[in-house]
Amino acid sequence: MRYARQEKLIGKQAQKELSKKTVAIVGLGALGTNVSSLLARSGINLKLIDFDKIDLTNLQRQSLYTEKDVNKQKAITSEKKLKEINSEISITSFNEKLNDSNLHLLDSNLVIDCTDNLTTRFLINDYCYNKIPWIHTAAIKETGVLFNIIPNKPCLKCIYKKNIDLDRCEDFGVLNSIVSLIASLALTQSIKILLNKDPETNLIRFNIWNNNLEKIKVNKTCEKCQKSS
Amino acid sequence: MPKVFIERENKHVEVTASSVKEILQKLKINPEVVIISKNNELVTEDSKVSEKDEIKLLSVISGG
Repeated sequence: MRYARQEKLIGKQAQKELSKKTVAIVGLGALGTNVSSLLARSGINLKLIDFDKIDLTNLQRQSLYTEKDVNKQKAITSEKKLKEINSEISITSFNEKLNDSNLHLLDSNLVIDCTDNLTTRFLINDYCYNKIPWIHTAAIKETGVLFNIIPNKPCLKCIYKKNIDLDRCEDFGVLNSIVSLIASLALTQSIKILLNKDPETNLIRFNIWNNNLEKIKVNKTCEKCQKSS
Repeated sequence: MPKVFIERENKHVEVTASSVKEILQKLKINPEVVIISKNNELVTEDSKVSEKDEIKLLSVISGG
């Protein structure tokens, strides 16, 4: 009954398949809270990874948290809230910062990058390379991006060559609408990847202020991908 | 001259150049801080450009 409306679209068998899948979410900020809520409601098991605490300035866009949660740990709080949304799925939280020694936390059917830095993104890229599919997401100001990184297809280093200091939401701001839009795209792509139903291959960029959607083709341009093809 | 859109400045310019590298040099843009699309396809600095090409210098999006 719980998934009746979704099953109408994807079918009962597909819903059953989703119930056996686990998605690891790295970062439980704006993108992470929005996409984890959608995944939980869709009946997909979750691993939640974040080391940070909730700040009052997070409440504008980090949809799982309320005023009572300020100063609490993001991962543990998210687990509690998501279990209230769906008690029928498996949800485990890890109050840890992803680093070289705990990359096994990414072991799952799909990883979603909801972090805010290229250092962690390159760690995910290296660990998941040609092994675990993952979705790169990011958003700042009024623009968001999404790119599916599927084994044997172009990887993150085919887009970003080097680790650089990036603009931060603290300095440049972010609209909560772009975050929820990118989270919605990520949920849709998650279902497509988990069910092997023709996921998007282009880099998606959306500017929500002027409604400009761009689909950009990505080729295997990094050294590793060129060698493996 | 290829048309170039600089996302960070939200402006279009025309630059006389035969490669992406030359465009970046003329506009004094650090290649490490942008991703470059040519006719909606990501390209590297070495990519050649022609008059009809539409080049976009897109900001690297970071926040999560």
